[in-house]
Formats: sequence, structure tokens, C-alpha cells
Amino acid sequence: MNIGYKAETDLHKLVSLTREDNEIITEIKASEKEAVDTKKQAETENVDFNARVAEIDENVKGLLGFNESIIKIGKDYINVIDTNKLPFDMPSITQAAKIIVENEEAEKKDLLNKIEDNTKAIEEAKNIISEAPLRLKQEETIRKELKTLLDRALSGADDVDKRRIRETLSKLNVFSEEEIEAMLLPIMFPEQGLKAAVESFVEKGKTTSDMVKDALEFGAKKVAKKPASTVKKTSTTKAATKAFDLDAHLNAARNTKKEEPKKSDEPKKVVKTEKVVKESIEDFLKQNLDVTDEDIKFTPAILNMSLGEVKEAIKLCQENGIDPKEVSLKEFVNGIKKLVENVKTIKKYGYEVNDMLIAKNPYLTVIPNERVSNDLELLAQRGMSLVRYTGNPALIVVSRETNKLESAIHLIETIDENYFRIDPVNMAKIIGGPAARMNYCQENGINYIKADGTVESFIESAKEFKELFGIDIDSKSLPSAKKCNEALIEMVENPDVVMALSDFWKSGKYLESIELDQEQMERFMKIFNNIKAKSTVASNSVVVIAGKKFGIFNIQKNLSWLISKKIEASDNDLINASMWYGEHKNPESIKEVNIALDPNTMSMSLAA
Amino acid sequence: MNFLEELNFSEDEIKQAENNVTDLLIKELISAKDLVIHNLKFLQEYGIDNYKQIYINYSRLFLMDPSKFQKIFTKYEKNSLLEKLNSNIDVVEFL
Repeated sequence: MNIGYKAETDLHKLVSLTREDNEIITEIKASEKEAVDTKKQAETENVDFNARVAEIDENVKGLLGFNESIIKIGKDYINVIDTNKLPFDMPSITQAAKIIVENEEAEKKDLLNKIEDNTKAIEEAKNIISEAPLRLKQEETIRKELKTLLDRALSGADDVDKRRIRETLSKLNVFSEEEIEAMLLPIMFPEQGLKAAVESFVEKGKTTSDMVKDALEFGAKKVAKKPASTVKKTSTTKAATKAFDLDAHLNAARNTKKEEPKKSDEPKKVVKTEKVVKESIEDFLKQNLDVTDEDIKFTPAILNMSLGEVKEAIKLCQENGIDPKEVSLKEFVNGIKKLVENVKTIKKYGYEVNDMLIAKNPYLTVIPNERVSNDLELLAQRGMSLVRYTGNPALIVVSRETNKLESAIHLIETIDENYFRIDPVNMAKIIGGPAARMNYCQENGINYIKADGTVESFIESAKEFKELFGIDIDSKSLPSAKKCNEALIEMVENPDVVMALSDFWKSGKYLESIELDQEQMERFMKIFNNIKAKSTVASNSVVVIAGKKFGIFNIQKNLSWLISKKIEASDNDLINASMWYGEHKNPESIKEVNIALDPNTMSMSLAA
Repeated sequence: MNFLEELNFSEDEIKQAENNVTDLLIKELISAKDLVIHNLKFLQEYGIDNYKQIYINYSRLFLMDPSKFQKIFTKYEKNSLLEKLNSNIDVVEFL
């Protein structure tokens, strides 16, 4: 009887399964061993993975802390010093820190996935390991039952019927019902197939492996599943678990320009960073100060400032009640500290300085504060104000050197002090020409005062004056103060009084208060009252003697200085020196004034 | 401030401009002459005929950033402003 190739093959499989080391049992044992190995490996790896995760958590925590610290340090540094002088490249450091944190987090995520996979594999392995003994026992029982069945079939026993054969073969869970049905008769009647299969198995040298291989193809579902193979694939290298070296990263960030291997990449990053900073300053200025491209074009130096410096300058403005939007960029470049310092000084002397005034005087940062202070002190001592008819102070005046301002005041008060008092902005002018023209007008009875008290334009313009009056009048037309001083030296008994005043005015000591004792004060009052008594005009600022104007402020300063210095000098010397030193007057008029002061002195002078 | 010649300032006008300010201001104006010229040209182009008188008397304004300088003049109705400025430059003080 031909049972067919398929049934014959199945019989061979069936015979092989009767062996103690059949492939089903072997596979169960192999699966168990693999599960034990997998479990061990996965557990070991998870220990490492968990350690690495903890390490990453620590690194990230430390790095974030460091990043916050370095940003704070950077901000503090910028606020106080100069971002261009930062001893480290903050953008590179923070960027490096960000990248490192991202890498660390990505590795952590990967590790957590691996740990999860390993955990699953360990559980599966545990199941395999725990089930293996039972399965082996079951398979052994089935194997013995099968062996008994086939032995009894081969021995021709009567109890080998279809029911028993189906029951036993079904337990193997290797063959389908159809395959089992196909093998019923060859087993019940061994001569029809079973015996040949057993003989073939032995005689033809078919190996057990060959037989079981075929059998397993049909009984795969009975074979234990392998643990997840991913465990092996997720092995990590030592490099991956290497500790994060912060110093190495910082050094890399600092040395990006120097490191040759990174030359092609890193310099680009640095250039990009600088560009970003410059762009951000530009954007910041436009957004926060309403600055235009045109503004920046004419003050390009503003781009050399760091963002921190600009922010600090804005903060300084705001802290001092100055609207930074009203401050020209040039002032930012020169230094807002100087602006604030000068504005404070100006305010200290009682002047209102508003934003519009600051906007319209964009040079306050270049005036030395000492000059501002001295100029204002000089004006305060003289009882002069900077406030114009507009109500605003003529700030331009405080940009004038104090000695020049003092000389201008000295000159103008003996010609027409209203020139400064009506419009203080005139104190900033070079007034030699206008003063000479006013003097000419006074001497020639020409009215140069307009209805509002200001001077006619021909006083300001030499060209216009000449066109009107046919004469060139400029500062050279005024008598020289130097010649007057030289004549004074010739006239006084003790020239030291003139030298003492020269030192007094050149040194700037006129801004200091002069202390007089009782005796000195009495002498001062006696001489000054004598001078004032001879004035033909009652005024708090000038005395007019023999038609000549003398500033009271200068007379008092000169006289008190000479008395305080205890210079051996007669009252006449003190009077002449106090009244005539630095005057733009014709020396010839000294005698006329002296006669008016004291006819006896005049007689003595003539006699001499 | 000879750079003013290119804006048709006469020698006398330049002298007046120089005499009206301190040495410090002259130095600043010269060092920022491109900005000064730019602002002067704005006044010219804006139709302010007596731009030279404004400069002679208020040269310090020409050190301002262009946007701030222009805002002083453009924030008012143009014809009205031009009329007032051309009759009295001191209106600048109140702008």
C-alpha cells in the first residue's frame, strides 16, 4: 500500500519524536538556557543603563545650573563692565550648554527605551525559565506515551486503535488532524508504513536532526518563543557612558578660534555670533529708541557698543529721569554717565533740564563736569542766570571755558551788561566784536537796542555794521587789557599788587571764597565805600566814575584778594589795581578817574 | 567751519556761526560735519529759506540724530511752520 510521500514523511517525524533528545525537548532546553542568558544580560545592562540615566540627570542638572550661573555672571559683567571685555565667549558657552543638554536628554530617552525593552525581555525570559521544567515534563510524558504507542503498534498489540492514536498524536501538537488521519492506518498496521519509517530512519542513516527539522516546521507553535532580540542590539559602548567633562566643553567653547581641527566650522560660528549681536543691537535700538538706519549711519560707533552697554545706558537715563529716546546716539557713544553727571550739576544750580532740552543740546557728554560746575559757580557768584526768555537755560554757555566766560562777563559788564542778562545765550559767544561795536555806538550816540531789549543785528555782524556806518569795528577796536595792565604796573608804587592779581585770575582762585579778618574787613570796607561813593550811577553791578564803568564784582574780588594777601601797598595802589586790572580801557583815562576819586591823589600824581 | 561753503554760506556768515558758539561746539560741529551738512540739507529741501540763520544761531541742533532733528520740524503743519520760521528763526526755540 502506498501511503504517500507526505504521510511517509510525517511518520518519520513521528518516529524521531520518540527519542529522549528529540528536538522539541532540545529546543525547550535551549530556550530555557537562552532565557537565562538573556535575563542575565538584560539585568546587567539595565544596571548600567540606570546608572547612566542617573549620571545624565546629574549632568543636566549641573549644566543647567552652570548655564544659569554663567548667564547671570555675564549679565552682571555686562552691566558693570563691558561685554567686549568678557573673559569668556558667553554665547558659545550657552549654545554649547544647550547642545550638550539636548544630547544628554536624547541619550537618556534612548536609554529609557532600552531599559523598557530589557525589562520586557527579562519578564519573558522569566516566564520561559519558569515554564521550562513543566513543559519538559509534559513533553517527556508525551514522548513516552508516543514511544509506548508506537512500540505497541510495532508489536501488534490490540489496544492500538484509532482513538488512542488520535489522542496521543494530538498531544504532540505537531500534526494537523488531516495529517493525523493520514497516519492512522500506517500505525495500526505497521507493515503499511510505520515499520518502514522506523527501518528507514535507522537503515538509511537519516539523522535525528533531519527528521526533527521537518517535524519542527509543523510544530513551530509548540516551540517556545525567544526573548526579545532587541536586548542584544541595544548594547551601549563605554564611550556612551563616559562622564560629561564640563571643563573640556568650556575649553572648546573658549578656543573655537584657535582649535585648528575645528577651523572650518568654529570660526563661522563666531562670525555668526558677532553678526547676530550687532544685528540685535541695531534691532534693539530701532525697537526701543526709535532709531533709524540714517541715525546709525551718522553715528556708526554705536554698533561698537555691546547690547549690555546700551541697555545699561538706557537704564541710567531712566533712573535719572531722562527719556533715552530723546538722547542722540552720539551721546550714548560718548557716555551717558557724563550726560547724567552734567545734568545733575546743572540741576544742582537750580535749573530745569527737561528731555527736549537734552535732545536739543546733544553735546553735554563732551563737556568736562569741572567746567560745567565752575561756569555755574561763576554765574552764581555774579548773580547771573542762564535762563532765557523761553524759560529754558542756555546750556551752551556751560561748554565755555571758565576763564573765557569770566573775561567775557568782565568785558561786557563795563560796556552793556544787559547783553548777557537779556539773553544769556550771548555768554557763549565770542563777544569782542559785538562789545566793540556797542562801545562805538555808545560813544557815537547810536542806538543799538531794539524794543525788546535785544541788540540790533549790526552789533552781531561786522559786515552789516560796516555797510551801515562805513567803519570796520571788531575786537581789535577795543583798548587792550594787556596795555592797561602794563600802564598799571608803571603807575603803582608796589607792582606786586598787579602781579598778585595776575596770579589770582589766571589760577582760577577767583571762584574760591576769600576770608578776611576784622582788620582786613575794615580796610576793605573803607576803600570800597570810597570808590562806590564817587560813582555817578547807583547800581549794584557797576560804578561809574569820570564816565567810565567798572564792574563792582571785579573790584570787590581784587580788593579783598590783595588785602587778604597782606601785600604792603597803599590804599591808592589797592584802589588802582582793584579797578583797573584787566580792564579794556584806555590807560590815559586812569588819571581822569583818579582825580574823580581823590583830587589830592591827582595833585600828588601830577606833582610826581 | 569752512565745510559750510558748500551750502552757500558766505565768509561773514561762517564767521558769525563760529563767533556764536564756544570752541568746544565748533570742534564738535567740525568733527560731525557730515551729520551737520545732512541736517542742513534737510532744511534746504524742506523749504526753509533762512536755514543759514537757523544754523548761525542754533548750530547745536545740527548735532542731533537726523530722525530727531527732522521730527522737530515735521511734527507741525508744514506751510504754517515755514511761514513762521521764515519770519522769525527764534521760533526754533519753541519747536
